[in-house]
Amino acid sequence: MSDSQKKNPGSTVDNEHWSDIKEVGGSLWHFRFMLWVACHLPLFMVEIITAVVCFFFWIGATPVRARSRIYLDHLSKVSGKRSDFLGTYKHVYSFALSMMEKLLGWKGAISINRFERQDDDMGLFLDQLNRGEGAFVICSHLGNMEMLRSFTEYDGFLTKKRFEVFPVVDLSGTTKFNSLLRELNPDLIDKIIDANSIGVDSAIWMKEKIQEGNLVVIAGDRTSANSRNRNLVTNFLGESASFPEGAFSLAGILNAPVYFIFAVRKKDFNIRSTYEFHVIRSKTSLNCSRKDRPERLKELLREYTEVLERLCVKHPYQWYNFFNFWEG
Amino acid sequence: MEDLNNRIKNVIIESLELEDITPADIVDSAPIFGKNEKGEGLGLDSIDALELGIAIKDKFGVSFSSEKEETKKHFASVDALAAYISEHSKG
Repeated sequence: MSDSQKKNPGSTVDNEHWSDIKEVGGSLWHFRFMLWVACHLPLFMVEIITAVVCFFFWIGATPVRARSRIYLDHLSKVSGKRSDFLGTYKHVYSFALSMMEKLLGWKGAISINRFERQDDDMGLFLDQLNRGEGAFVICSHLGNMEMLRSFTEYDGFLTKKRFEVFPVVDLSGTTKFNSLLRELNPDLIDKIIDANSIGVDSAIWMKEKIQEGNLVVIAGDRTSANSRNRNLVTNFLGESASFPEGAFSLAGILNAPVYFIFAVRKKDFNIRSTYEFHVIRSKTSLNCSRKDRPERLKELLREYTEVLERLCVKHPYQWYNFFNFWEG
Repeated sequence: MEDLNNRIKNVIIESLELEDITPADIVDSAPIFGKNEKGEGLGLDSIDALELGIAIKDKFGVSFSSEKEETKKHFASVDALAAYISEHSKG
């Protein structure tokens, strides 16, 4: 539960920006406890303990319930399915399971047998990597973002060529959780590109990494904490919402093939579940004049939100943005 | 030096597709990003900066420091960029 929670004074659930919300979990030992549970107990017990802890958290955390409800209500208008009273609890529980998954993922790879290929652009994607061509990947706070990275540990199984994954992440909001991740796997955290300090040097570096056959990954569904005004607005789940201009502009600047990749638990509330691994190649060509680019970026965003909506409807509790996505 | 300044201006114009601007329109000492108090400057933004940085690197083979403030100085004006490139260029 590193992501959401307590509010700053003066902001309401309706208009707060996600970066105003502070990391919950008073001290590092909470996370250490989570880690111990995740590593030492059988997974079914991990689920039970998580469910109990979440229940008490859910009872106490009124703003979290309110934020979750905003999302679930938007979703049910689109899907036509009403979300029941316990919906917000399921949402919180699913998020807590994803934290456990993340810790387990950073400790070691998740077995390749648990990846389930979909009937999509996965083949295209693997061919591309095998040719030594990299890509720019836009992922989401849907499902488990770590799965893509786990891929790099199956050399020779999926791809003949070795490649690396470099995520662009805003680490500012989750310092405690990050310090734990650093202990678990210092090499991995060093590969992270800090979203708050992207400059000329890092842009050049990202471009080189992609040219060398690697992946640069960024989440497309959280606006920048630093430049809150640089957003792209589009309809998402029935109402207009802001998306980070920077993430989509990067696609244009790096001028590499763009993929949308999502890994979700097939069974929403089971951390032993297999993962649906969705890979969709964007059809929007960004190789255009700069004049046409804003229009193309909107098109790219539309493609992205279409896929995201479809998967949110399929796995409603696995989208982890616990703030009002439709603020303002 | 004069020649390098012109080459830089051409890279700026080409990479950012500044159609209505010729090298002569760009003041050597004026800011590339934003404008100075005299109203001189190209008024480019941070995303343009990334794109220009990549173009400069491709053209002149120079790399830039990860110290943001440091790099900002080199992109302050065409003059500053020329000074940096002539010092660090590999060829």
